Amino acid sequence: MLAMWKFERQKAEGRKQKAASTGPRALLPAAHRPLRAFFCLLLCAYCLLAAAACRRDMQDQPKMKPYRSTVFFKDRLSSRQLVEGTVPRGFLKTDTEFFTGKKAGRASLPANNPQPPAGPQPGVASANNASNVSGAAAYPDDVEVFPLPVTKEVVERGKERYEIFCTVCHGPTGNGDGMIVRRGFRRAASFNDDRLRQAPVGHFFDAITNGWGAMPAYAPQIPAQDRWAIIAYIRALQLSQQSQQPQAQPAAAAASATPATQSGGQHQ
Amino acid sequence: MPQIFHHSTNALAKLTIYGAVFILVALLWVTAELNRSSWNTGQWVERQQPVQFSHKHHVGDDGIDCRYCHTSVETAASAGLPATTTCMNCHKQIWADSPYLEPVRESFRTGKPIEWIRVHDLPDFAYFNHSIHVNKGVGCSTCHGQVDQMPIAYQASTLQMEWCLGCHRNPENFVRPKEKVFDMQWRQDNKSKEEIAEGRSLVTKYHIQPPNVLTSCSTCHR
Repeated sequence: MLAMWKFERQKAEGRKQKAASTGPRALLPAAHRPLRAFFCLLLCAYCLLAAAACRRDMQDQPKMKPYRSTVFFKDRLSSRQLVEGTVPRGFLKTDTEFFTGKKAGRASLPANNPQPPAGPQPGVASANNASNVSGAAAYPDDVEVFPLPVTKEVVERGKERYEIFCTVCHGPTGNGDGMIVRRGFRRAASFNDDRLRQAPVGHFFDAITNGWGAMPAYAPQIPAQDRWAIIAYIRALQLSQQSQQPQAQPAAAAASATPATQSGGQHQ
Repeated sequence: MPQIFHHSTNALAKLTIYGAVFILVALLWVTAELNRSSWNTGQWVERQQPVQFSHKHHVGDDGIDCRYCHTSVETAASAGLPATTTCMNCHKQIWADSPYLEPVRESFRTGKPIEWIRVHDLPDFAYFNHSIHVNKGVGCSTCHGQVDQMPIAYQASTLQMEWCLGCHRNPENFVRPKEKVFDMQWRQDNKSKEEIAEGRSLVTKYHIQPPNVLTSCSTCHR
């Protein structure tokens, strides 16, 4: 390389010199010149190869990666839809209560279990509940007890997931005044009104999984385990908001009336 | 016998040798600079998308968490691109008749995915997994920049190997507490002595592998 540069320079300077015929070219034996040219060409070819062809093939390998389109299938999707009637390994949903929030339909339900899991349970606020059709009675198919042990970790996980997926509409305290509602979305239900205080946990699970009124289904975004965690956190939120109610009862009642009737109307 | 070369040729020869070295070095330097420049890496280049999606609006103004759309970032190699239904969660009511969102509605109607333009395109010979980074305290903004201030998304880093190695050699300069990973306001790297000391304790706490493992070839080229 160095020699090459020297050679080029000398060639250029050689032109300035009067005695062109005695230029640096004469330094080399004539027989070596074609050899040098050959190596020069080889080097150029190598550089070209390194720069162009090889790189693209390694960079964009002809394989399917997430979200990459393909020409192999007609719809250009490299990620294929499930074949109808098949279940991916590990996705078999045998536990009806856990995956639907609906009662399995057997007599031996844990509805009257005197020792429910550690999570806050519906019906805590039943003392000041005036409505006659409320709580579990309004949603007879929905499970009333968490189908998983509610631990501190579950509630903390629920808080994290709630703040990702729910606060946007339901607000950080669950009053239904999230940012998306402020941007013009239909007002979200408040978790702090009586209807949802009394509602069984299965109702929340059903709403998250399949949507409710204007709320879309969140099953594609939130796995079942996290949905239950979110519900555990909603129960904690309801408790936390409830303790403040005695001081602001009339205001809170007025505020919660609108979303309550709205949501009630959606329940068809 | 007369002399073939004039006396000044000596000086010229010396100059040429020096010049060749100088030019070589200069060329190398120019090549290296070009190689690192955004002309080659695509850094800072804003990518036009089929829909004028603004991260600034959705993250910065609305305060939507990264994981609302990029749902698999904590569990999979790919951070996950939202399905059209995720857009429609809100946009069935908000901006529902905006012409800007017609591609979204069309995708929703037809079931044909929106073909977003990839902003961060790693070469296929490099293995990258979002979940391990996010779960070990590497924040979104460390690599992706302050997405909450990007009206149009661009690649904030060079994505070159030396850039990857910058962190794999000295993770303590970049890691942050796990609960701050999705915090766009958190510092993108640890600069001061205290910050680096905190980073070092986090490296131990999160069991981040030592540099000889992190910089092993097969960590990224597998």
